[in-house]
Amino acid sequence: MLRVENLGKRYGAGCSRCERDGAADRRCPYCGSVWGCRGIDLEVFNGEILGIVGESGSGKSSLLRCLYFDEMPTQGSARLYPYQQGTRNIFEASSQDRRAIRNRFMGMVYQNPLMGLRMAFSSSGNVAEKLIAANWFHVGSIQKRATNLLDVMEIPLARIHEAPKTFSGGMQQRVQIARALANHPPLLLLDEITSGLDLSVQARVLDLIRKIQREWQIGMIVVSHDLGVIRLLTDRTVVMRDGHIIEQGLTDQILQDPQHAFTQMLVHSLL
Amino acid sequence: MLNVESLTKTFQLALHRNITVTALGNVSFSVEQGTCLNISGPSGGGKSSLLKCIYRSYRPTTGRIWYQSREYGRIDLAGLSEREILRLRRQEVRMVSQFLHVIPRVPAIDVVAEPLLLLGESSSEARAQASEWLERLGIPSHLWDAYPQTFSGGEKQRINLARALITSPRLLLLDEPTSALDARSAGVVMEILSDLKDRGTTMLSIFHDNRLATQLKDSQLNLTRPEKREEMKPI
Repeated sequence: MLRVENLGKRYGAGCSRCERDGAADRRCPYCGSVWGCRGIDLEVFNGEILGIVGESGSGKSSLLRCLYFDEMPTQGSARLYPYQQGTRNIFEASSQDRRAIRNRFMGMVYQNPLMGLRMAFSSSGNVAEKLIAANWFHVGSIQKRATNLLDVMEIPLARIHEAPKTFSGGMQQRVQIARALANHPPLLLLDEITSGLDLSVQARVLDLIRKIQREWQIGMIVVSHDLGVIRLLTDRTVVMRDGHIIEQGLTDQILQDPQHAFTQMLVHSLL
Repeated sequence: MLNVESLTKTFQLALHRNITVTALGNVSFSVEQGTCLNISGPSGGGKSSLLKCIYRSYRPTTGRIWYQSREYGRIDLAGLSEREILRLRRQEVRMVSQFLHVIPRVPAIDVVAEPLLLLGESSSEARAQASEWLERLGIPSHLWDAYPQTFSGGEKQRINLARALITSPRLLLLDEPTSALDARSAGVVMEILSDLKDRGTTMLSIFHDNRLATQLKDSQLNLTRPEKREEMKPI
């Protein structure tokens, strides 16, 4: 459903030398620009959860931010099947189209709820905003859908008109998931959603995600540094380091039969 | 049904001076449909590694694993794409290990029902079938809504079995499925397994208990420790 080819994001202007020397070094010694991620090839199928693991600074979030158009990649292409049957690179779409793709075909849950939510709006307003962006016009059905989603995410109905800033971290995260799911996107991007949550809330969020995937058959990319989360949620896993993909495979393959030295170290450090 | 040709599996321990460890050395055998092959051998002899290679939790180093699948016909599991492997695992190949890894705080009955939901079964039907299996395997009904983390080793093992059996797999890989069970529960499990076998499921099994193995097996494969297990590779 999503095919990413040779995706790269460079922070900094770049110079003729780093253009020419290619992937030799992550940071160009001449102009100081840094590649957040580079040469990324991956695929996500319908109804599949793809995990991305790696240490911090390995380019996981850069990749996700590029896919959600928070940043424009320096090179590479991504094709999303619902957009023109996957015939066009979504990074070459007009800004209007990009907004439409983001609002109709994608949902994103950030690690930090501050980035994904408007803290001063009501929670149902947050969900409604995404619906309006996805061309929902009927106020009654918007309200109904928002209430329903927040209910599924186990936000007490008495509190859905309160602003997320009065919520706990776990509740904010669940409002974020409700918002991301509002338009029923075929692709959901989840960035470190369980870090910062206590264990009991973490278990509930994981169960919710698994349930959504099962019932809605949507594709997901889950970025996490927690191999336990990856093991429980994902079908396939990609391991990143220094902005590159160093290994990919079935999740149990990565965990039980890691090939790359870094992956072996990562797996052997699992508690 | 299953035809394994000169399968080897080696591990390269990059963190330990690149030592190469051979887990499986040149194993060949075949299994007919509806029969059970029992794998025996000393511990460290590669019994689990063999099952994991077939289930593709391990990437086989060399060799071929021909499997007659319902979906794709005769295929080589060693060279199959990840997507196809995932599909086969959902539909016809299941593995039962000694360990249970599930999302915390999900009731046992939903844990068992999940594989059916993934095949598109309705939730009420899946739960009904799950409760049938839990009952057959002798899990008391007041535990069905409890979380499997709190279960005893034997109960966890039976949950694991129920999860695998509920989809009526065509190929079943059993890695010590009764190691934590008492004699009576093990007897129940063996009965269910031989019933499945009679209905056409092919099995590869590892049992520590020879008597249990004899009840189920139609043929026997003896794995010995591969010679030259470790060799240093010049760096």
